[in-house]
Amino acid sequence: MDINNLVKRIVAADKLSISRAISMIENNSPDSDNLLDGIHKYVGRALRIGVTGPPGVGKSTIVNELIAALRKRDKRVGVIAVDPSSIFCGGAILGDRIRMQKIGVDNGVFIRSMATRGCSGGLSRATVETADIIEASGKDYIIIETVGVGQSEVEIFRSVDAVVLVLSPESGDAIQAMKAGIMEIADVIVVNKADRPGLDAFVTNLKNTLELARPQSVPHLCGSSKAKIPVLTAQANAGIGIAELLDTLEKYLSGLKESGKLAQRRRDVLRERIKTHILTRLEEHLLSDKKITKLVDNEIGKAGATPGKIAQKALRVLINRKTRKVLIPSKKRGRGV
Amino acid sequence: MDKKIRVLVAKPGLDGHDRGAKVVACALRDAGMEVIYTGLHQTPEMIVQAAVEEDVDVVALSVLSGAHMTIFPKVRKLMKAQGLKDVLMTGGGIIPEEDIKKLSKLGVGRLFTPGAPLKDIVEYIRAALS
Repeated sequence: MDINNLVKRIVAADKLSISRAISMIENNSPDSDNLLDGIHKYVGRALRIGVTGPPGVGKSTIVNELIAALRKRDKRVGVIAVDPSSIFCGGAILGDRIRMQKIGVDNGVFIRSMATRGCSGGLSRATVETADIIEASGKDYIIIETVGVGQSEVEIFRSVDAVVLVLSPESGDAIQAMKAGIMEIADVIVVNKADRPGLDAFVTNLKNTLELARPQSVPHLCGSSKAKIPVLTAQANAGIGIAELLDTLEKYLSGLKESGKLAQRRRDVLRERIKTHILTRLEEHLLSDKKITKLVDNEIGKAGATPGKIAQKALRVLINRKTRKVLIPSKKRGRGV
Repeated sequence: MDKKIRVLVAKPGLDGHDRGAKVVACALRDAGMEVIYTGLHQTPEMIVQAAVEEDVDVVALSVLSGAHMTIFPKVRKLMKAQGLKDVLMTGGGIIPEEDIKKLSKLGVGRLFTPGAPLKDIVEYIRAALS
């Protein structure tokens, strides 16, 4: 496939081209690096919002309402909704679209469901690259919805400009458990299902917890340590609280932009992404290199062969000239931009 | 390359009986496929838009309402118009044999009727895509 042509069609917002390009990234196609290089100059303008929280609190419903609210403000929206893959069979039920149908058929919206495919951070390996592809088609906002998270799925923080943490009054004691992990990465907290009993007590507890538990040392790139995290309430299935959420997010993001913290945060996101890219390449190579597997198998059990020494020996074999060629493929003529 | 088979499972129209669709969706997941389940009350336009955005290999419709002769041809036509000619269309429901034959002539793949073993559906999709 001609990558230049594909890039042109993505930029022209051709849905089928965007969709096929995402599959190339997701399936780790040999052309995916060239494709991402090609769209790079069309990326960086959209604001990226992450939506995370425990299973069943209403993340997809909130995203559905956010899409509608953004469309009303004449913004074009891309959405990536991640659901878990089975660790046993590799299959997945991707059901977030069920709740994202308020808008119906609309060329200003692009929704893609993704399975985690073995990644454990709440996203899939290809999520951020997929956001790039969708953004290149001219979107103003990209919303990334994580899988239903527990305590430590915090990868979303390193992937977006702002994180919305969704909870419900029933999240109850779960908050205690979440203090150290997911609570730290929230830029805005929404307590959804506000019609359920126990809302007031929950919000009060939450605010108290936030004041106590938010460590000053968290390298949070947005507000200053003195800034309070906004806690909003919503009843997303009735559309209540969504306009306020969007207003809060817009205000927050423009604050980030003016203070220069948005650029700083994006640099961090990029740095993380480059690191992941390098590690993925190394891992792929390592896993497919029979020489290394054999070397390790041979060394295990030998007198004086500690795990550290075996690893060093393997690394010496791994990082040689031949490997360099495998890890850094030269661009084929006529491809890339 | 680590390609997964992606299947869209949808319930078109006003038909509210989604147990069959859910059972099939779970069987396909257990067979290692990624199943995008859109739920009830889908219009043909919504189904085809989802199929485009999700880059699925298969569109599977469940129709128990008797509207199959309207819905399958309409979705098939829209799929062709959107460039999804190479996407397999299959499905199931309470569909008489003569209608299945007619739909087959329009490019609709195999349709499964009550009692079809889940294994057959999985094997059919795998074989059709290989």
